[in-house]
Amino acid sequence: MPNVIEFRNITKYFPGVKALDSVSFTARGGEVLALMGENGAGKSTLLKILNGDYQQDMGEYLVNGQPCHFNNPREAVAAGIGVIYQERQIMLELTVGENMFLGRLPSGLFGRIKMNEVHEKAQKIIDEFGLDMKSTDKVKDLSVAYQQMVEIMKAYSRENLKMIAFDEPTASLSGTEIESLFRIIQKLKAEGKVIIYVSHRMAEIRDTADRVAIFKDGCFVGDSPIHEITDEELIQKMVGRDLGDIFSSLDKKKEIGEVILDVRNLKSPYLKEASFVVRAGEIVGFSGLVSAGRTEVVRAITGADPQTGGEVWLDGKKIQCKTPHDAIRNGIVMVPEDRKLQGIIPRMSVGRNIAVGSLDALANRLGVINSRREAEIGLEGKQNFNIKTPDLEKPIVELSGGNQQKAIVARWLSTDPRILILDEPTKGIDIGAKSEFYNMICDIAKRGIGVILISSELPEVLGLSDRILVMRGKQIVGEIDAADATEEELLTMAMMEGAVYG
Amino acid sequence: MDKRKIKLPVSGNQFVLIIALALVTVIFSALNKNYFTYTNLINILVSSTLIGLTSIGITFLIMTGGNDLSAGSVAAFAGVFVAWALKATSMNWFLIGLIAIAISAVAGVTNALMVTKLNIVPFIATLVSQSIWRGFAYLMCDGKPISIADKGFLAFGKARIGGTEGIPVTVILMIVFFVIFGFILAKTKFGRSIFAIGGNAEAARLAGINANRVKTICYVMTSMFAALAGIILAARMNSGQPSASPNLHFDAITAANLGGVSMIGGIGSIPSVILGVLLVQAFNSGLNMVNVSSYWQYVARGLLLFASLAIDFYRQRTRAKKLLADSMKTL
Repeated sequence: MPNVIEFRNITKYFPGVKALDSVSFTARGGEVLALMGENGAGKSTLLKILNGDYQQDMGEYLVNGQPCHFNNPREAVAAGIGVIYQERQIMLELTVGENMFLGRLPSGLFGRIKMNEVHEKAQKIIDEFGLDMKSTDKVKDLSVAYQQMVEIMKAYSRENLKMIAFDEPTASLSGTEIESLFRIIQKLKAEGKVIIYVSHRMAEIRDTADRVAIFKDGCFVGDSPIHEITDEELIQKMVGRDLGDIFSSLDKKKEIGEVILDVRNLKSPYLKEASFVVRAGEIVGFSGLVSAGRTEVVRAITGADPQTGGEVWLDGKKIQCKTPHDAIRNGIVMVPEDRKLQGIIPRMSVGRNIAVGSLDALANRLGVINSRREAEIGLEGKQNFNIKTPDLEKPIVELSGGNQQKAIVARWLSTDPRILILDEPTKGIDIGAKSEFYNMICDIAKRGIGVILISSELPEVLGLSDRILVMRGKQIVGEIDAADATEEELLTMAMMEGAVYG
Repeated sequence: MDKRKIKLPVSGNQFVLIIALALVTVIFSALNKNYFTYTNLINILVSSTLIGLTSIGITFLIMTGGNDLSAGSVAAFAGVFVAWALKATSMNWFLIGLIAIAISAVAGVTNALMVTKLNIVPFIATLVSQSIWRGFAYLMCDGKPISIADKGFLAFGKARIGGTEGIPVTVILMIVFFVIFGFILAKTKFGRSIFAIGGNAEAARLAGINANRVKTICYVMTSMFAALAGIILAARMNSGQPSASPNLHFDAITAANLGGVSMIGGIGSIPSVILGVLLVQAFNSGLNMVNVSSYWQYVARGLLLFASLAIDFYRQRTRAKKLLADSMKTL
């Protein structure tokens, strides 16, 4: 009987967010099912439920018809569910064989590990996979691609392996390495394993997948045999969203002024190079896939990452931001990408979270904070940004995601900035709050503040920006006037060229 | 604004601590009728100065996500140093005390360097100092306690304001420090930075806060407070003892945690910690007065910290569960 993995109405909540909304789909053995969707569509949450990292709040997860409940990844692995992540999950100091049988190494008298047996079994699988490595090789001496193979073989070495999922497996592989990965995937498929393949790369999915399941905003949109759907249709399903009205009703009329920010050949350890300008009142959109280098640009500007080359000019003066503190003093502020890890101070009150960006201004020479002014900043933030909270004393973590984010924007606008950087400002926020944000962003630009908007949501970049820069491979690869651009054009620039293997 | 809500003068956690303190008092009073007497209660206050002063530093430190296991050793070193210097030099006792505190600050600086520059976890980094400074204390006196004869210094340990039945000077000193540092934590930029770093270090950094500088100040502060505690102890014992205060950091950590200072950082207030200090000292003194052996006292101490940590854990978990339940209802 072929293996079958089934999700029935799986729903998963995080505080303030519904990450998966009644997702139902089936993956069958003997076919490769690709999962596609924009960043934040729910693919990673789904993988984590598959491998027991998370547990669903509602719905059923069936493996071969049996309802499953994994309390942790260990239980899922033991049940024959394997997920291969981008980050390696193997022990670099151990040998290939040891890694493959870690946690169930055969032992003899006094717990002595039967190493010969391990290597014998391991070598058999290596040969079966047709790979040029030895079971006795240390993993740290292998290439990244082979390390990944070790992980696959580790999952494969369990006789009960039913499903194997790959999360962006080709991200760090070369052309030939990708080919051998695909060969192995075909082998697993022929053996009737369920294969789930998560990737952004269209060409790859066409090469390897049989069927594609599309996700959007935590919902399953639909699936289709891969040869019955065109790239255009796929992209349209991934992005299609009823936000059109919201954007057309935005009042974007404003004066665009002089250049405020001039970034010249900026480099960092995580960024190849970036040059661009931002004018007063202008919204400059940054488009591109995750890890295209968008966040890295703004982190280098604000001193969150070290600058290794290039110059940043603000209002005609060269500035040097070694730390975020320097950037804030210069009037460059950032609403970071990950609200939870980089934005909010969870158990601090809403009011203090808003005022924490203005500590320098709030403190007198002895460092004593003007409590009245602090409370005013909190209250102004709450009113100006319509933050829904019964009182400002409430810990910010108890607010919904959208209201938390409004508080972070309020934090930075209360510092009276020149440049406001918004990195994925509406990630994980419901549609209602999103449209509020869009109006807010337009108002901010009208005040003459230069806005840098990073977003993976194409309608958002198109609907808000005056000018759009597209990034790929840690550099800017194109610039489009927002009025002339389409979603398809942006996604094509970000995905198609160069990134395709082979 | 919600006008109907009546604000209590104490928070929920403080209320629980007051009840616990009352309970401990009632139990030990029942077991030993000398427990609930003016003299003994003052004695408890006097003894609490050591834990109290140290807990101020420890509170700041834990709130940033740090910790300090070297406080007891540093206190012993400072006590021995003062005793040694009073004998070996003719300097004024007050000046000697200041020098002892200044030298002890080096312990804080090295702790901070290990944590911020070498990325060593606070427990291990301060374990290094724990051993080194205890060693310095023994080396300074060759393992033998140094007795103190300086009248001015001994008077500092025993003097009372308001006659022989009045309030000890050291208790007043502790109260003054509680007030000053309570204000710093609640009302200054430095205090706010501590909350921010402990709450979310990366968010604090991106909000322009220099976390390493704040942490360094907290480590140095803790060592200086521990030194002050060690000096007070020496003055009260008429000698500098190299084996003194082996549990100082332990009791101070317990007091801070009982006082609602979360071990994950980011939460705490000095008024609650004061109650935690009183609870720990009332507990320790009570055990002494009902003749519980010092071996069993170690067990009891451990259990008290365990109880405190368990309460902290359940408090966090209940909160997290409530939050998720709220999200599920509203989304």
